[in-house]
Formats: sequence, structure tokens, C-alpha cells
Amino acid sequence: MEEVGECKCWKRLVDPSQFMLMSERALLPLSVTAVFLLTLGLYLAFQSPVDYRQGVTVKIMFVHAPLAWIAVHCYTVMTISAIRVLFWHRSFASIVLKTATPLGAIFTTLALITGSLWGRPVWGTWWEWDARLASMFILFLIYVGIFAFSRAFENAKISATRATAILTIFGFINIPIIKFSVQWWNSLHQPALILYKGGFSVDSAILMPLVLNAFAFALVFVIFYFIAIQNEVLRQRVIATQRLIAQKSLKADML
Amino acid sequence: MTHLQYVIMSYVTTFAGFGGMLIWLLVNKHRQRSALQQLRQNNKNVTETEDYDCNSFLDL
Repeated sequence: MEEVGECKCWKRLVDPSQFMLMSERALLPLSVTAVFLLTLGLYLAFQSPVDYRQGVTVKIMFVHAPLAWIAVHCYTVMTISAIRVLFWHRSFASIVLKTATPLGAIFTTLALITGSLWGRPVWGTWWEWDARLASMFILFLIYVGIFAFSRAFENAKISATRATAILTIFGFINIPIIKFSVQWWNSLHQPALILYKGGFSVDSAILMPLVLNAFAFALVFVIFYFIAIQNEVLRQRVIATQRLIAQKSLKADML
Repeated sequence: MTHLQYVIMSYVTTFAGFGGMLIWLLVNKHRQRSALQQLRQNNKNVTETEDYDCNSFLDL
């Protein structure tokens, strides 16, 4: 019974009309929760102790790390959607795939900028072609490539969607490289923040605001994602209505 | 630049990015909604014109 219930709920979520209704209802409570969590997370971040070596610059971590995590997770969501598009031909999955791309690109850009602002006072350089930094930059290029590709063949809808899905799946190779780059190569970048060698690598005074900020940023991403999907559904409705009017006008002219 | 200035700049960049993204999404949503509304209105007009044409044809 539970499975049937879950299945129905999933079907509702992936139906564009139902999604528009559900997301419209969810946006306000999600936004209120996100603002509350962001305020609390930022307050706790500035209350947390400073690092004995990095000093106050360690506070950049509370925005940089969540941005980078979301940038990477966004790509994982895109890959799952790409698999659904490619093997199950789901039209809603193609919307999910297409709309995530610009958001992922912006989150990656913000992660790169904040990382650079952290690197300058700590490492003494804005940028270094180090494994983690280079792989994050490649992620940004992949996002830009997919964005351009998905919009380049707007008319050949099916083939463009499939090609975008294939490109996305290939690009996923970069995700484990980002994750393990700090272990596989000597890197300027610090190792994994939370779980490292079977334990927590940061103190709970820093861990708590970090996790809270990560959750708040994830909520912000979900809100943006919902609005982006709504926009794409609306855009497709606009195109469908334009076609309908054109067909009617053509029929009227023929009469 | 002092260390605190780097921290402030990173927070300002992040939230300016969020703000920009939100504005872009909301403007886009408004545009799509307005376009859809306008098209539906046009669609209604086309249907009415079509009905009128049919009637005039039948009258003949």
C-alpha cells in the first residue's frame, strides 16, 4: 500500500500541472524556512571561534563549502535526470535536467569566487592550477557547455535533449575527481571538511553552523530550482499555445 | 586588504549572487506568465473570429 502511495506521489510530482500547483504551495513555507535558517546559520557562523592559523578568514568556509557541495550535488541530480531522459524518455526529467544547468553554473561560479577570496589571504594567491581548483573549473566549463548545447538546438527538441543527456552522463566522470582530488594528488586545498579518515575533521563549534548553512543553502537552491522548473513549464506552454494559434489561423485562412 | 575585508567580500558576493539569481528567475516568471496570458487572450479572439467566419459562411 505504501509503495502505491509513494508511486502516486511521485507521479504527481513529475506531472507538470501537478508540479506547478504543488511547488506554488510549497514556495512560501520553503522561503520562510530558508530565511530563518540563513539568519540562524550566519549568526552562528559569526559566533564560532576563529582559526588559530587562518584567523577570521575561516568564516569564508561557511559560504564557500555549502556553495561547492551544492554545485556538485546539482550535477548528480542532473545525471540522474539524464539517465531517466535517455533510458525512460521522461519529458519532465528533460525539464529538470535543462533548468538545473544555469543554477549549477552560478553556484559553481560563486564557489570559485569565494574560494579565490579565501585563497588570496591564506595561500597568497587568487588562483593555482591545483587538482581541486582545476576540477571545479572543469565542472563550471561542463555546466556552460551543457547550457549552450541544450539551447543550441531548440527546434530539434528530442535529439537536443538526448545529446544533452549523453553529454551530462559523460561529464559525471568529473564528480569523483572533484571529490577525491585532495586525496589522489598533492593539493593546496584542504582535505575533506566533515568526514576525513573515519572521523570529523572539524570541531563541533564550527561543524554546527557549517551544517546549518549547508542546509539553508540547499533550501535556497530548491526554491530557485522550483521557480526555474515553473518557468520552463510556462515557456513550453507559451510555445504550445503559439503553435495552436498558428494552426487555427492557418485553418481560418484556408476556409 | 585586511582579512575581514576578504570575509565581507565573499559574503557580499554570495548574497549578491543569490539576489541576482532570484530577480532573474522572478522576472523570467513574470514574462512567461504575461506572454501566456496574452496568447490565451489572442487564442480566444482567434476562436471568436473563426466562429464569426463560419457563421457568415453558413449565412451565405
